[in-house]
Amino acid sequence: MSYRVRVLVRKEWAELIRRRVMVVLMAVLPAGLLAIATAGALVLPVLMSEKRAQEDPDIARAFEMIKHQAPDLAAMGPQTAFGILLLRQILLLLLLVPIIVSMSVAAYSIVGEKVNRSLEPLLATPISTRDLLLGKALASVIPGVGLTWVLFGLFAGGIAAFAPEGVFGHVVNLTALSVMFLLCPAISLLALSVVIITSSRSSDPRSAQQIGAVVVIPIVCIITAQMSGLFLLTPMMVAVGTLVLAVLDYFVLRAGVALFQREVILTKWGR
Amino acid sequence: MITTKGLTKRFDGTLAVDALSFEVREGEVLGLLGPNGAGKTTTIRMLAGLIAPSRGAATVCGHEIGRDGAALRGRVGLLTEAPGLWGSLSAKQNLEIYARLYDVEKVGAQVEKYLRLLELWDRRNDATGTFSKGMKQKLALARALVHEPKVLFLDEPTSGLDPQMAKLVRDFIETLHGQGRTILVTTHNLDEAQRLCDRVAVIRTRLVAIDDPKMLHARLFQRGTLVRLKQVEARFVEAAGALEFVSEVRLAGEELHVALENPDENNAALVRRLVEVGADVVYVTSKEPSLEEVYLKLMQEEDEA
Ligand SMILES: Nc1ncnc2c1ncn2[C@@H]1O[C@H](COP(=O)(O)OP(=O)(O)O)[C@@H](O)[C@H]1O
Ligand SMILES: [Mg+2]
Repeated sequence: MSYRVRVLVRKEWAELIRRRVMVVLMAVLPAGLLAIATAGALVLPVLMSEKRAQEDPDIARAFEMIKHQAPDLAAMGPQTAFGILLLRQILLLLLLVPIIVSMSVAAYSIVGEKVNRSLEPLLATPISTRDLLLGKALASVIPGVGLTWVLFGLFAGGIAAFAPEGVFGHVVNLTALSVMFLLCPAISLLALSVVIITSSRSSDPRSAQQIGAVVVIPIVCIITAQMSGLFLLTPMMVAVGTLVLAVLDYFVLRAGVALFQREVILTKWGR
Repeated sequence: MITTKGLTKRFDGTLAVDALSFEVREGEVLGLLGPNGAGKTTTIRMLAGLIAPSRGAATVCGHEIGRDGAALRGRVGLLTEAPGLWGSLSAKQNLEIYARLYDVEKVGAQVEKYLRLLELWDRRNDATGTFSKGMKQKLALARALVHEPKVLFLDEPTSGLDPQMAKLVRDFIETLHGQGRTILVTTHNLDEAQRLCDRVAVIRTRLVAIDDPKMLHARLFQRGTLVRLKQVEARFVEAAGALEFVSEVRLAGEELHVALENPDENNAALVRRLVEVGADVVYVTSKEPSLEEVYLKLMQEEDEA
């Protein structure tokens, strides 16, 4: 990372720290949702006993589906398997956290400077467009991913403490770790770079946020596919996916540099 | 230090700057004078490597604009029209970040130097959002200087400041001039241009005139004498106008503004004639046209052209 990128990232964080209330809110919201979802995933299976499955056709059907979807959990009782599946979905949902949390920061990162009229002196420095975009992107990706990792740690700790025997190993496995530590940063960088680049091209940060939301769709697809048992994520798949995303990240940033017209953004609106 | 040749900038339909050619010598302060929308900011942005010219060329510090933008930007300082500080960050943080972006070696020392010089040191840890307009402007000035550029672009440095702060900023610019920096300063304050600048370039999309402020006067106005009378009557104006060395008499309140060839020679005859026709002369002084008058006259000529 070049020196100027680091300078810019530190500047962005210094500004972020000044907005403590917003930062705390941004962190508390997903943390709360995660806690509720995890608690639900731990409690629900307990309520779904075999006896109730015989009485309730819906539960019976759910158990049937689980057997079908997660053959690796065949050895477990259907309740435990159901709980594990729920926890795995929650884990995938964590992928959305850094994007949602950092979306507005990213969307405003260039436009905000423009509105504040601080963009002109910034562009007057020798900073390159690449360093500017990279700095802006990393400044929003790193805290989001960091928060996600903290939440993941709490999630893993919660499972270790409260879940029945054997669940932990089936949830916090190599797939989960690769999703968190490979896929999550790569996909966040992609989504937020797209948002920053769009926001630098549009005069309205809201439209940038909307376009950024489009990037979330692939993640939602993975989650639904996994949920409907279409396929099961393996560490290999995650690694390959990450590689593809990393290549995409590189080209998106390259394209961003080409698309970013200092002059246009400086003089476009409001002058 | 700065040379422009046929510098032109067109935005979509509007011609903002048209074929501007001028030179700023090393150590010179050149004032870019013109009404709102004259293209001053656009010119500065082109020269500071922020926007590309549509046509024409310019070199600044030996760098051709549009070539190696980053190198050029590193060599010049720019005071933008709006201070554009990061309001939630302190004065010190603002300046430190810029010092680093400009690759300043001794960041701490440079930041302290300029914060002290501009009397912001005591407020260094306060968020700049709480600063007064004048303090913001001073910090923006410090930011333009933190990497010790030899060439400085100042875009309306005193506009919107109270007289005291404006004077402080002007004095500071004079100090910078004394240090041998080359400065291009835009303003629509004529008085300021007259006080600060070695030469003044009057622009309105095109270059209207460029010269020493005093020479601009001489070029546009004949020398003149101002005669204040106790009471003005039409025949006094007539009598003065009839004198052969007088080219024009204008009436302003109780004052006659008399344009004549050579006041040293002609004033005595002028006063004698006025007394003869019964005027009571209160006082007589030489009339120096202000830059404002020069400017208005230039603009008027432009409109007529
Ligand atoms: N981005 C832009 N798009 C269209 N017109 C512009 C733009 N920037 C400046 N102009 C026009 O160019 C002219 C010069 O503007 P400017 O350089 O800001 O003048 P000044 O600084 O002398 O007040 C004005 O007529 C202005 O409306
Ligand atoms: Mg301007």
